[in-house]
Amino acid sequence: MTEISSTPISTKLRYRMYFWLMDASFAVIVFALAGEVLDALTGVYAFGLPEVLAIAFQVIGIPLGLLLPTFLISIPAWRDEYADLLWKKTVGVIVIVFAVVPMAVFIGVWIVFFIVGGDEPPEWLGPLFAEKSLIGVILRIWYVFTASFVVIFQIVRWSDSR
Amino acid sequence: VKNRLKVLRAEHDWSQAELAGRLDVSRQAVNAIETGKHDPSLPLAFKIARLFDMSIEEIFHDEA
Repeated sequence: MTEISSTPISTKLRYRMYFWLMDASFAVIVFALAGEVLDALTGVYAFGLPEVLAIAFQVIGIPLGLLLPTFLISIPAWRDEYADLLWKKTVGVIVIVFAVVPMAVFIGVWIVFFIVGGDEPPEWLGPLFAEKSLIGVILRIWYVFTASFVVIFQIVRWSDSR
Repeated sequence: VKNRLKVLRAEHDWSQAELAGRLDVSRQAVNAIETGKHDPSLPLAFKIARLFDMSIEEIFHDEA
């Protein structure tokens, strides 16, 4: 048997850490999403946590839920060939999602207008028609894209392991 | 492509993590190869063959 590993420890650690960091991002994103859904449905902000804890979560959540996924998406040197395969499968799904979902939303809204009639959208569709600053939209797209990437990556990984 | 990686690893009493360390890949990569979810690249297949002192054909074989 031949001992052939001459790869630096740092490279091996990077490959292992890629999956750990993806898990950490996923946990933060799911937690943040659950918080947003709860807020939208019940008006309870940040799970009703004390303000200090809510701020602490944001301090942890922004690096782990936004900056870290951006890093994991962008740096190929942190992926071994299997992580790279999952990355490519994820890209294959996400390009379809980002092409189809906006069209589906547009068609859905058009159907609602067709059924309801009138010039003004129903109140429950209000958020879709809210005026936003361009920077706000860019930040939102950044968040939605990176979060979607992490979630789809984990789903692909989970389905691959079955 | 089917392979004997799991059997060979068991013969050497290595965990997936140990084998991954010797091959410079993640444990998830070893698991995916063992379960047939991922066919290794040619460089990795050569690396696996060298590690076990075998030819690629002795470890991997076409399902057809």
